[in-house]
Amino acid sequence: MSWLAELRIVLREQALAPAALALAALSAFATWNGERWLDERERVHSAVEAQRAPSEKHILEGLAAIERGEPVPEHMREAESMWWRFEVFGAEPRDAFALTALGARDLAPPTVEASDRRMGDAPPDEQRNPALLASGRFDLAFLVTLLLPWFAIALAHRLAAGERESGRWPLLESNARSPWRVLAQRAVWIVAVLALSAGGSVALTLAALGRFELALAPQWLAWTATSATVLGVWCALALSIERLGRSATFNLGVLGSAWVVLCWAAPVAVSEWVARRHPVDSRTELARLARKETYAIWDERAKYTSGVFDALGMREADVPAEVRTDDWKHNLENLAYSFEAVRRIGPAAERIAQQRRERAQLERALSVLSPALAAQQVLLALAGSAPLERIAFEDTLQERHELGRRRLALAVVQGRGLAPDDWKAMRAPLELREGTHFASAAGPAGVLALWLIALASAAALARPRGARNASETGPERRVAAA
Amino acid sequence: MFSIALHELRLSWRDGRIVASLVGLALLLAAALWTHAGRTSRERTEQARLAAELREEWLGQGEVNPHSAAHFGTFAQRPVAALAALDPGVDAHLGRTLRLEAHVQHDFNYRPAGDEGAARALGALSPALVLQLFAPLLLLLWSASSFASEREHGTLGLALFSARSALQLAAGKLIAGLVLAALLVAPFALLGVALAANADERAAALLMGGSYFTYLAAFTSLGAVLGMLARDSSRALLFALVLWAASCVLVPRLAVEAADAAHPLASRAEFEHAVDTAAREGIDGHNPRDERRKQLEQEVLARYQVADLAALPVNFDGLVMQADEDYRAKVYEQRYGELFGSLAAQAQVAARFALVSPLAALRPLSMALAGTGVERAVEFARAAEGYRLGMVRTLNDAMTYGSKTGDWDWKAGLETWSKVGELECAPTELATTLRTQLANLVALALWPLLAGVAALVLSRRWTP
Repeated sequence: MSWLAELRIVLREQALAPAALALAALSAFATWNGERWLDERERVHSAVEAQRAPSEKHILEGLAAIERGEPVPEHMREAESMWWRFEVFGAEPRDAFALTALGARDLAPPTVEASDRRMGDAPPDEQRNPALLASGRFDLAFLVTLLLPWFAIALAHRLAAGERESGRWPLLESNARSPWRVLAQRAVWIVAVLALSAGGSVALTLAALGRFELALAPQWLAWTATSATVLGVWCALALSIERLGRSATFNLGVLGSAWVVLCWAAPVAVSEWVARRHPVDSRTELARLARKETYAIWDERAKYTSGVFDALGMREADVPAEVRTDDWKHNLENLAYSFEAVRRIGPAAERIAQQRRERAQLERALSVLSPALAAQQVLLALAGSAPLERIAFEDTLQERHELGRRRLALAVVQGRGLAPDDWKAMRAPLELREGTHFASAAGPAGVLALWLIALASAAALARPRGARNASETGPERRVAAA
Repeated sequence: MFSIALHELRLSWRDGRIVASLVGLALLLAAALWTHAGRTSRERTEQARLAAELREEWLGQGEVNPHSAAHFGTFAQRPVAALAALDPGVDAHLGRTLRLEAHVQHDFNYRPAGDEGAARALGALSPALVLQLFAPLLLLLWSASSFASEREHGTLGLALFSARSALQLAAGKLIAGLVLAALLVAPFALLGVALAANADERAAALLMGGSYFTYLAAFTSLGAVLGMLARDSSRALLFALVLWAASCVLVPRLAVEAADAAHPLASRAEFEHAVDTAAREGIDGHNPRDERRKQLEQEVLARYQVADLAALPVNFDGLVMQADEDYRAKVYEQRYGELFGSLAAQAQVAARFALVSPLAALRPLSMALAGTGVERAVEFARAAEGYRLGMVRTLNDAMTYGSKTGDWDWKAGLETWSKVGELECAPTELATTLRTQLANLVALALWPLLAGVAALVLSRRWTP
């Protein structure tokens, strides 16, 4: 009963209803906007598939024949001609929940081709207006990490101070329950109403757009819980500050400063420090290296044929003499060119990939420094849009490409046509991790929960101080100064 | 009026919170200026080194076939603007180099933000950002609190008594706010002047300072309006925070989404596919590459009055490559023209949000003055494409007029490579920048004007 009474008070005194409505509207907009983005993403994906369809047609027909147990068709048998055309094409793991946090997905195209040609190059950027990117996207992750705290601050900064300033504090103290317990109940209501408003709005918008499926329910629940935790962190912080017994103005000032520190300064400091700790090598230098080495190797490719055998773990003597024709030597030289290029350029490309991985991992570890960072990591993981997910996707493609190249090279060196097994291995479905990872979200979610526990403990355990004498801060001092 | 302003400043000086906030902001600004000035200087040194190496590489490639040299190509570097130390603009979201080679007009790739982690989405440190986000917050809070507290603390009557009118009191307080704004903007503008390499840049730095001052003046006036309207300082501060969060955090992102929805860009894959298709099938789809080649062959044979290609005194392969390059140039001009047009249209949509947030007017203006905006990057991309076409033409001509058809082993040397000069892209004149940014300039100027007038009008009804 007392809980309901507190809800009524919060609704009446704290402008909770208009805040919840505003939040629901913003959540609905962010969801609609994310859905628009996802629609476009899926359209691009389909368009790329359609573009590839004509060139893929014969291969797909051949693969179907192989599946039926027929021999490899003529046009797919020559390993040396496939060598130059071979590339692995993959689409990033699709997940409807990606619309909640665009993250790394927004900067990179939905589909990627892994090939030797791309080795000296970065995965291509998606075409975006840089001026718009500089301002940032309006997605649900932005809403939760940067805007949601303001809702909590606006509603919770005068929970106690408001009572004191309106003269109702003695009334609260006369209650059988501790006034702080009452205020905590009100804070819980603020969190619950706002979280339900945001979560409900997201679910309803998804349903209205025809995107809500039962399979999304766990992610939606996790998203709502994350929003509630973020609100809880800020309400707990507000209550801790309220314990100092200062004015609502003071509380607002401190909470505003805390927002600047936790939601902006800490992430910026982490971003800058991580960039200094793990600088990523210049991609222009990598492109230059690739250009220089490939030009240098081509004319001398005959010198590097032994590298092919080393890479394949065999000796030239293993190849029967009747296979070693002039054509075979020519093909071997072409392989030598590619293998030598990979040997020379590969480490630099891999170093950049490693630097990106280290950067993302360190940043993830440092999310402990700010609840905004932790919340963002949770939301990105839930949406499968974290930088580490993208890197893992690109790594998977590259590994598959290397595996395919090895199969082709073996066939060329052994002087044989491609066998059904070669094709099955080269074109086996990519084993991409699912888009959404509760496991990846668990770590930062734990950090966020720790923030909540620490601040809630501070709010519960800090010794309340009485309101400071008005003459210390208030009108008397101003009058004296005037 | 000035004595009131002086009195307000004295009060602020005695208020530890304001001094602490100002010092904190000044430190933040200093850190941002120091970091970015160092970064800009390092980038410029690095660019100079790379430019020298690239030139040496180009000239020192030895004797090779010109078409091979055209594929080897080079890189063009988007210059680092001196004022990037103040406002890095789109630098984090746009690659610094462009690959220049035969057949392909590359886009800026390798945007640094692509390698950065998730924290980047929450913010970045730059002097411009400190002044765009946090200086208005401070001034808005200061101004709202300064006006609201007079009534709340019961000092308004006394203050009105000592001032000649409420208008004078309000004007005095506003002047004090403007002094604080000037204190924040001055080091920013002065560093810009110090870093500037020429008169145009110095003027641009001063204009940037002026723009930021105007922007902060708008927030000071808005704070005054809120302070006079609110019942107490707590509510005034709350309204100020809501206003700040809406105009500096929310609206810029809404503007992004509106611009993106109004003028969506083609995806990278679709763009490349469209270029390839147009080059292969013809821009209108009725002029395929093979047909074009046949037509060229007939024209060349007729021009030189010979029966077959082997009898030509020139290398037909060179002519074919140049014709293909010319055709692709048209395709690229059309496609990139559409892309750049969409970027400009998006900027126009985003600029309309200047009606609800002065930041929407300031941000593009600041980037344009610093030379770090999209327009400057587009100018450079056009210049680089012109350079690439010139380079490829020089190499194709060398092959066409230096060898015979089918002679792919023919090689050129230093003399040919030297004919390809260095890329020069003149900086945008300040007058041009101001012309393109006129709408933003006007919108920005209107904000403090209207807010200031509103504050002064409201002051007539400002009673204890």
